[in-house]
Amino acid sequence: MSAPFIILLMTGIMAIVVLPFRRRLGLTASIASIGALLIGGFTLLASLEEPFVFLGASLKWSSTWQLLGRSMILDQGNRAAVAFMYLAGALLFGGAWIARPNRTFVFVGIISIGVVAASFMIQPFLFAAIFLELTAMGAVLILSTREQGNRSGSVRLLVLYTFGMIAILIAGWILESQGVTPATPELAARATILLALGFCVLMAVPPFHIWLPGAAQQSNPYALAFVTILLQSAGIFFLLRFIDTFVWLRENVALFDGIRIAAMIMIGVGSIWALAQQSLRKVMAYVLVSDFGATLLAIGTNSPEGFQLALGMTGIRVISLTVLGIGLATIEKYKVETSEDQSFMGAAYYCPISVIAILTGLLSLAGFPLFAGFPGRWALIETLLTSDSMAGLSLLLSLTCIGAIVLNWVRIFLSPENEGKPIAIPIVEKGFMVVGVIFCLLLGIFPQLSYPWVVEAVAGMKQLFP
Amino acid sequence: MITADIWIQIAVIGLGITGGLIVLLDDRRLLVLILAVQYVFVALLISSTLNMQIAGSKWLAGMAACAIFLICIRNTDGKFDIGESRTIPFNSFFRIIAVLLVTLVAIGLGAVNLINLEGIAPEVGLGTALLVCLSFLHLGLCEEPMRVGIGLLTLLSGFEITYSLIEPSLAVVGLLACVHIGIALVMGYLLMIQGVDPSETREI
Repeated sequence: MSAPFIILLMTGIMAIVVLPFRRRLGLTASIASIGALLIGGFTLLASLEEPFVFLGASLKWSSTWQLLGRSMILDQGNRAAVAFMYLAGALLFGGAWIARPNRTFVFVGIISIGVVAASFMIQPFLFAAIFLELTAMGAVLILSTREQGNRSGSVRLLVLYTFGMIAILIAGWILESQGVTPATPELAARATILLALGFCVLMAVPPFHIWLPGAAQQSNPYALAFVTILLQSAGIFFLLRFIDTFVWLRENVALFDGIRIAAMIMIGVGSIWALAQQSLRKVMAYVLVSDFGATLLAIGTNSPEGFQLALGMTGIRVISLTVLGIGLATIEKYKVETSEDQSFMGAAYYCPISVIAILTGLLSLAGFPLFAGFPGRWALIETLLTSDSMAGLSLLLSLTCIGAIVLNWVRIFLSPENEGKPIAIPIVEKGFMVVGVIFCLLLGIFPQLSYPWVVEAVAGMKQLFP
Repeated sequence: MITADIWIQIAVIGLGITGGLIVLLDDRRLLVLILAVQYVFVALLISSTLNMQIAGSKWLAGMAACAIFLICIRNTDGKFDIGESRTIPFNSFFRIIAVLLVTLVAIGLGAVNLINLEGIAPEVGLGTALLVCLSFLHLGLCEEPMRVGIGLLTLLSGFEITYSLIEPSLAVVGLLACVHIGIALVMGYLLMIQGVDPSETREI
């Protein structure tokens, strides 16, 4: 039996099972969460190409599945990435029960995770760009709700991903067919420009981040958290596979300089624009841009430690963003109806746990000491201050700006305008948020709980981690 | 007797005209009809250099996308009217001038071998340049989901005219066909939920 086929088949079955129950979010979220956990576990633990006996029959999990002349391959280079997507999905589907995004969330979310998993397994891996385009379509469905009239954020997302897909496919063809090497500088330059364009879209480098604030304003915050985790994680793994596969890319110093500059722009733009926002949803969007910038900065170091840090930050983002997304979704659900600019005033009195979740999520995304994002951010600052002090300083600037944002929102949340008795939030919602906050703190205080898995995860990328 | 060369030239001229009309027209049904005709010209151009099966599969995917749009228009017409962004001029005169200018640029770009393609007829490059440039113009002018969807399908068609020659594998043809249908489905969904009152319980 083919492991990639089983993974995709189980994903398809899970999607079909939840489809008739899409109005019952609690049920579908539970099914999806357990199913994603099982598939993630299978991906990590299945012994590939080794016979085993099951009910008296001798079986073997094959790592390859042939499809229309192409292959889906599950190997050491991608199984950690595939498992990561499903395990992150398990957590995120669980949170959907509380955050109440739209009713297509679970169904489309399962399919989107399956499509991202397929993008990791497809060979030649350049065709992953088409799968990412299909994932962007799923993202549009997850982000769109009937309540919001304007859907420009989702539409822009699809337009940009289409541009990105085209650029990466052409670059891939140049790389594969034209034999790009350091000895062919003209071809290498063309391929690099196209790849840079494609990955700028995938990484939301300004101005290609333009869909993010719009989508944040028009969608459920938890749906946005899910979509950004999905798309960004897929983009990071895709970029690392490119760097792992093509020698001339790894040896292209100018490319990594460019990545660091783009990352600094992201960190600067994200942090400063977040500071200027009055809407908490837009603050979330711009803090995310800044966080993506930090991940890209780690890749820009062009060192095994930097690549490991980038993957570690991608993993930590799942926890931080889930906590932030749930906090924001619940506080909006229970907020006292007032005028727009005062909507969260006094929220610390009537919705204290949601406020703590929001602040914890923001501080963790920013990489504040004692929060989950801190160990990775600190290690990156240490690396950069010796090699590229400007980049290191941009991270410190980001910390300062987001610190100021958090202080401002603490002032708003504690404002006595709408002071009142705490709203009775269901115990499950409270429990989920409290556990999330505790996790954010635990991973910040004990980084050894989270970062070692990264070493395992990247073991299959032989060129990046010799 | 019409030779293959004449068919290719007809297809390229047809692509230019349909690409321009998509920018100029406002009527939704007419836009979908023009898109369907454009798919015929795309298939014609691809069939001149590749086998008929690949051209036929692209045409079928295009027809499916058009059918999805038509169904969505039928289900939503009259329920809402979402205007275009007026930050950029959108009147007919502006659009005609813009289409003419962009067509000239596309004709110029079509003659340049930007990505080192060898052995590909200049008409193929011209067809690609026309659709890509006109779809960029279209996407720059509109925000409404269906128009954006038609712009994206035009862009993809232009890209595929050349890409299917350099990567004719069945898997890629199938995946790109899925992208066409997917874009139509997603934009159709957005179009339909725009016309629905959130309080309605009816499923889409």
